[in-house]
Amino acid sequence: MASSHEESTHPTPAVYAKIAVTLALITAAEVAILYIDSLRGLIIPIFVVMSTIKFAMVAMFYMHLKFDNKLFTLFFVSGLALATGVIFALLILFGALGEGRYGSPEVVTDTIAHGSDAHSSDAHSNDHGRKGTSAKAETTASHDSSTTSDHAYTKAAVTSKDLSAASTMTIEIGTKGDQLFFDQETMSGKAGDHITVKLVNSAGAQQHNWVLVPAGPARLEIATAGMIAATTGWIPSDDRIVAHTDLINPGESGEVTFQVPSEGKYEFVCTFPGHSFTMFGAFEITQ
Amino acid sequence: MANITENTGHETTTGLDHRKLLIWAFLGSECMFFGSLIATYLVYYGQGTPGTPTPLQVLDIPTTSTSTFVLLMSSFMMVMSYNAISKGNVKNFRIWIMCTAILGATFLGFQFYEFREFAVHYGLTPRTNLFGTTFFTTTGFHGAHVTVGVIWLVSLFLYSYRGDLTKDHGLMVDIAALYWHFVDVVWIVIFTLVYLIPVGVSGGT
Repeated sequence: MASSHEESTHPTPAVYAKIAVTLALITAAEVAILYIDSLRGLIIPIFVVMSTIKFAMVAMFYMHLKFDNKLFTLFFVSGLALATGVIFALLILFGALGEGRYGSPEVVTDTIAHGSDAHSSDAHSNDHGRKGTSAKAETTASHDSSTTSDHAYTKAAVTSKDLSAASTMTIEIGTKGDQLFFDQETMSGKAGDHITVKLVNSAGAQQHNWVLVPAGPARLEIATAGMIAATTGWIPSDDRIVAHTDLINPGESGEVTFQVPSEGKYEFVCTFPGHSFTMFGAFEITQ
Repeated sequence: MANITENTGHETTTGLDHRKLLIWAFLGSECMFFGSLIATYLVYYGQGTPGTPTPLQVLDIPTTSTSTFVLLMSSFMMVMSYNAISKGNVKNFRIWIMCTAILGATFLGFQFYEFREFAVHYGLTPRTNLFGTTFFTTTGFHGAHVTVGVIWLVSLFLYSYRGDLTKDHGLMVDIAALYWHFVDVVWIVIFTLVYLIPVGVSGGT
């Protein structure tokens, strides 16, 4: 390696000063552009180019990468490339590059009940004895326990709109305050019953939902798919989902009425990104 | 084989001082650190809880532009102080490095004002919503880096009075300068991605 000593090739103070002026001017221009409405549509490429120029000027001249050994540049650019990759990968993974993403800061929150429900968990135990026969009939109807037939069966049950609210019982489930846990680890429902699950979100800042899914890998698969479903309250479009509430704001509650599957193992989970790792539990089907 | 590009006391297989290689490897890893923080901010942008402060309500572009300008100018002071010490001019080195540290401290003052304004005036804290969490984490970690930098610069300033800091010790200043410039370029990225683009796209100001 030739020992070209860099002190002679380093820029002079005059060059440093010119760079400082340029950096200041670019920053001033960036702020000015914010106030020009006609450039609104081009604002992302303009700002990316301008800040890249500033970044490159500091790195090349103030940090001497232009004049120093290329190994230093390699070390730095490697980290920089990985960082850029991480940013883009995360933005794509979480759907943050979607259309109008930065223009709509409000999250989708449609029909949310504000807690005026007469049903209580007492009704739960009464219903158990009463509905024995009908549940039995449902069970025999679904003779195949393979997952596919379960889907078809439960999907049909959820979409049918003749669920009379009066005859269903309500199970309430809450959150452990601001902790990322449901306040129950297990829930249960009688096979074939129409039940209402009411999610009471007692968190101070977090939004939650309650999604019933088949037990096993499906829970994490569905939760992962939900990470990019920002527009539907983090609920992915997945046939395996038996039932789900809307995304419930802190301090509010919401409910979902559905028919309990006849058999199989199920789990409930919150699909808000990151919550699924702790916010889940088993949903037992009693016969 | 003694092709040493900096004032090192020993030879290395690469001909480069390993302390300088180390700082560059460190800065490369820091890119990923800040990259993850910024990405998280962007991913959760617009996912705030209804009824809590939004970026458009709280971000103050004129003030942040001023603090950005201050930090950019501190980088100029820094390169001038390196320029002075590499010519053996300890007196000028002291002046420039002290100016750098003062501008760095000024930047921190702006950030303290901004954080306080967010918390007291708007009630926005790291616990309020996802915007608060990701904003304070990203800019807070940058502020922590600036704080370390200011302490480092003041240490070099004081060290120069021991009389040990001569032209031959330029590498000590060089490494601190690289760290300082890095903190500056990270802010260039944060200012663009955390402040300018979200406000600009949403039609703020």
